[in-house]
Amino acid sequence: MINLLAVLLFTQAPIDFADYLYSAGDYRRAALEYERIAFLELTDSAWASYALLRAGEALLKTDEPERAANLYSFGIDNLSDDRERFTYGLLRAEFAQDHFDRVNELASSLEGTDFTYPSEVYRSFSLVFSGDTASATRCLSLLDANGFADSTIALINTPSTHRSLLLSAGFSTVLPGAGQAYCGRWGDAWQSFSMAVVFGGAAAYYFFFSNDTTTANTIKGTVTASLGGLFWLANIYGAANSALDYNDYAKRKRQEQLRNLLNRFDLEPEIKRP
Amino acid sequence: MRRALAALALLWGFATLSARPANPLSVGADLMLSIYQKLISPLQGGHICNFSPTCSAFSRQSYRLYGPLWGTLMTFDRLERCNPGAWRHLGTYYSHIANEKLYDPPCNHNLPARLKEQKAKSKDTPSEVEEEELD
Repeated sequence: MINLLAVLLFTQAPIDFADYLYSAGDYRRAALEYERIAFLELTDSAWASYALLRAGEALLKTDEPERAANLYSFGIDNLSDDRERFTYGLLRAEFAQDHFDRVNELASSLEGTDFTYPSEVYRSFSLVFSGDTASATRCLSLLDANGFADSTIALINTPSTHRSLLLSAGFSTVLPGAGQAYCGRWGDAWQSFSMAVVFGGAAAYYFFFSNDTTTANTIKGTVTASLGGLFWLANIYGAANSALDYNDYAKRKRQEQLRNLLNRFDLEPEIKRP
Repeated sequence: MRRALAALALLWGFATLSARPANPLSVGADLMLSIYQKLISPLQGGHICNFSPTCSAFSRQSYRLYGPLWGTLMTFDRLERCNPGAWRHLGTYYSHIANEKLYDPPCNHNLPARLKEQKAKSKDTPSEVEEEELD
């Protein structure tokens, strides 16, 4: 707070205030300040570029890549001195929006510039996320990144765990709960098994083992058989859903691992004050 | 008597196959569930279900959204999943907590829609064979 007051009282430069907000981690307000400065200082291209690039970075940190992409595109169109920097920023914003084709396109336009290495890293990860592991491996093997590239290659070529929907449903058809157990859901497996056994057993008792031949016995048998049948069908349905849940989770986990690996590469651009 | 009951069960089976928004079976199930929620559920003392929406609310939503066939399957599936072991899957199969319970809406368990979505996704990503053909 004291720092903020000091900045407000003893400096006239709005850029200092924006930098202060940025360094304090208040990226949302910093982005607004930088945007305002950028549009006020458009005549001074060096300061405008600095402010726009910082605004874009701040927006990427606040998870607003679409707005960041608009700013970078504006920079490419209007501030040609820093075209490469803006293009790299745009590439990062497009990557954050999962526009992998566009990332590939922008990475090609940055070949031979200072941003070749980081844009190639983004291109590789775009290929991974869009499912082209062979091209991603080729692309990553050309990079020398303190072993991070090797770790990524190792991860993307490790077959991900997968549960077959048909197998899961098939297991549960034969033995209630087996499909859920196959997907690691032991609690659901036990409950499915118990329900089917209790109601199926009761129905079998009423129909085949009870000496009672009254209508009440038949009704009891029909009700328990219906419930047992429904629990058995629902257990197959649940097993199929469990397999889908398992695969979704495995996919999410893998993507998280890949994003963690991506964060280990040094990809944030250095933006120096003019 | 047995034949009559078997015929009734068969009729019910055929009727459930026609999923319509205002299916009489859905309306009937909804009515029975609302009676359960108002009269029987409070006798259990509340807070016994592991999920949000609770099993009865989940069932009513399923019948309304997906008709009697899928509604019935989803309800019975939920009853099989409602056990303390479900808490082990928080963060994996159940994404978050709502009202101090595991958040589990019916839309997460609509198998036909999920399969359709998966099929659409696999169409978006061309396989290696398709890519070779394109080249």
